[in-house]
Amino acid sequence: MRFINEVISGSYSLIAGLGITIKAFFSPIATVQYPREVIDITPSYRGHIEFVHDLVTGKPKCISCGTCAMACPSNCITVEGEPLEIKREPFHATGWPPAISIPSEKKKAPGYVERLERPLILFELDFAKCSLCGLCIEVCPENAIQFSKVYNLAGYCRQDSRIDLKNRFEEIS
Amino acid sequence: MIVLPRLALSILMVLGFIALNGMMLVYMERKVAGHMQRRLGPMEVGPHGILQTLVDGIKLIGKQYIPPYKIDRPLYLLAPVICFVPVVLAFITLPFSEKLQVRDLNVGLLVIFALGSMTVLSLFMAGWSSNNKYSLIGAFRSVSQSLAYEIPMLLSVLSIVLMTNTLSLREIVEAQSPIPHIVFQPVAFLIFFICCVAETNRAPFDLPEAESELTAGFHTEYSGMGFALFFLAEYTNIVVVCATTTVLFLGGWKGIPLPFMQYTGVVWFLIKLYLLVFVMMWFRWTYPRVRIDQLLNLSWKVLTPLALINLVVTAVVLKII
Amino acid sequence: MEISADRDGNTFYLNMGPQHPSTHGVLRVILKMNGEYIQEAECVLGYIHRMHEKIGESMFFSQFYAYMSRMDYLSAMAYNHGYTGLIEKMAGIEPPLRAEYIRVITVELNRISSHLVWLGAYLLDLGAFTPIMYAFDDREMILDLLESITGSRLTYSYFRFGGVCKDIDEDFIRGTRAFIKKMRSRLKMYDTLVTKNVIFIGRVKDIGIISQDMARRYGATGPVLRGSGIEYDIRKNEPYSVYPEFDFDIPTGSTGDARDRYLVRVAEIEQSLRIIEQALDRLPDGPYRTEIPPFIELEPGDCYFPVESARGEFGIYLVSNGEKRPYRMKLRTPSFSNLSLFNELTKGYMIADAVSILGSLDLVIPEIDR
Repeated sequence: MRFINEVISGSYSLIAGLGITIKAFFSPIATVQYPREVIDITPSYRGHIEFVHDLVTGKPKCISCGTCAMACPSNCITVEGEPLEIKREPFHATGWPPAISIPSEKKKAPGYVERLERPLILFELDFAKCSLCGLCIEVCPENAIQFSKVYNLAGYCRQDSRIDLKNRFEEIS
Repeated sequence: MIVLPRLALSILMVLGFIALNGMMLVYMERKVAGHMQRRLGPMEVGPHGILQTLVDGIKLIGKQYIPPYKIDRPLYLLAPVICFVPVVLAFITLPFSEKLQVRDLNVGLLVIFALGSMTVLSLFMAGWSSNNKYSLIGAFRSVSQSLAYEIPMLLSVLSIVLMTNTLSLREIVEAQSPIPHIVFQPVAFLIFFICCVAETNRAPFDLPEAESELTAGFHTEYSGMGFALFFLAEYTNIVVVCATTTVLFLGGWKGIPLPFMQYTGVVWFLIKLYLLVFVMMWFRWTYPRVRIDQLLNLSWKVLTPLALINLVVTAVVLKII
Repeated sequence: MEISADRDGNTFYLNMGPQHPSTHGVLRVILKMNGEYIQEAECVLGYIHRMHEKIGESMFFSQFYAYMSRMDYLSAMAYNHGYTGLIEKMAGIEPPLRAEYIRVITVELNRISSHLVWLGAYLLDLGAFTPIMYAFDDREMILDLLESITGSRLTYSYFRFGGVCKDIDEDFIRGTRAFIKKMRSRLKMYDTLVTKNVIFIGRVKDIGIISQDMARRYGATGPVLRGSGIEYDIRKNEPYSVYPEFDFDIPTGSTGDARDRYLVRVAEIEQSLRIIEQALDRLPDGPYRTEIPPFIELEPGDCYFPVESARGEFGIYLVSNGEKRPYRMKLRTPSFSNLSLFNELTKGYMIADAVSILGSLDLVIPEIDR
């Protein structure tokens, strides 16, 4: 008797399972046909990093301080700047850290901070190593970098993954 | 009737049907699977991906022949052929409609089962010769599985034979003129169909090629044309067993009369056939795989006794009537 | 035909992996087989060893975030939570309450998505192809939700010391509520399609029974431990974050077979949904982050901080000598201890059962090798 019961309940479970799949067979599909349809990426999508467009000057805000390169866990950022030059700027009350602000010997004008600025020569990102953690963006004292929205990043060789952010910025603007 | 042209035409038609049907079934399977999993399946080659299988076939033909290390070469090369030939031969006696039949043999049913049991030989050859332990286990499984499932299969068919007193497929179809046999023999139909699924190594009984356990089972080491032949044989085998089921239980080409019924009965035949194929695919994309001991238990402990009881009951009832 | 056999001629060795469909990664298992029956199963690890502990010792504390999510890519949030919790505990940082709630919500969402992947993959191991598609369909909703706040779909680096890096918005809350509603109805579907299926039951019932004693002996954690009836969950037993404020149960099994582990995980999905629901209802306003300097230093000392990841107890033991980098870091990962059960579990079972047992342990190989 128990055996017959088992057979009946077992058969019922099998038929119920068939019911689920046939229902799915006639229900609309859930996939997106990718190259033809494209889903909008979210605003918070993390692509590789790119320079923020400074609205005032129209140039990258980067001061080539190298904090991002230091913060990067996988050493994928290379920053090179020209020799240091001292620049006086209104004092930012941001707190942490004017990365290379040096205590100047000279008398400072109140409300101004003297900082070293290094015009940028090279800002290279090796995207193959990048893990998109976003630390470089968080530590940037000038908020000069942000995540881009680029996701089609295929290349033929390893060199293709090296992105020169300065060139890219100039190309875009 | 002239024998030779008829034979040539038959061979041409059967081979054409097999090739076309193989491609169509693969396409159908992928589409059925796709829609059951709420996706579209192949869409790229041709409208709705209809040429996808053709392209895949061309790719398989063009592939390099890569024999594995230390294989048993004659067996390795012969296995796909031996797998494919009996399946083709089974078409000799399948009645697609009243006139569309190569030969109506008076032992037609026996021929089909005899040829069907040849498949296991080739699977074992493939598994044995590949010099791969996964293949070997797959081969072992396929032998025990086929042995176990042929018995209830034949027993369930015997009850039909008892009812019709013939082994000729055409006469069996003629015998179910008003009412198909499934009405009188639902249990036999169920047993037979389950055994068909097991015989063709389809899920949930696809143990010889259980890909999550044995990577690909007996055809792990086959690529290119060898693999293609196995694949084609598998899908043709599905058609053969489904056609047999249609003939035995669903009334073959019988249906609402069409003009030139002697030939156009094939429409009904194919509709019934592909309905059964669809059910098989439906099984495959719904159920998990059973384990080998459960598979054998099902056969020896449930299906065989049930088929025997069914046979005895049929015999008794026929005697009384 | 050549088969490497034992001297007695009755057994042979079968290499399962490192490339095998059901080891889900580069795990290699050397099986000593007698026909279809397994006599001995030896796991070979190290194919994806990346020295995460050593990497951690050579890095600033904040830099190690990205590596945490690379260990267990399926429940990356819980791993982030473990690391963040540890550093916050050692540095004495109090994250804002809202951040803690956001953490709980995201971790639980991630737990559900991890269990869904497991459910699909397990059924795939057992030979059913369709449930994984349905599971991924549901998981897609979670990934979309998490992507909308974290920006990534799998390896989130969302948590920061002292909070999370982005606040959640109304859209996320609405989406999550919709997901909870949908998931509840989908659980019924899984119940019909999978849990009650007689073939499935046949494949998992009384397979790989872990007794309570055995589970304790091997240090099994997570659903594997709870499946054998031991009610131990870090979220309840050693509460961290804001878990004590929520009302949820710890599902446990009775016999400890593969089916119990399956049922425990499915029940955990339901419990996670409950936690998320409560957290969304009580989500406090306020800041989501306190500003902490990026390169912090810790006082000399050591600390162990366990969290409940989707696979069980994940803990980090960290020794600091007062520098910007840790002196020693030890990662205790759940899959590693769960895998150690495998040899004893599979003895005498068939290869199909071994696949079923391996699936029921829910292993993530990068986390074993780390």
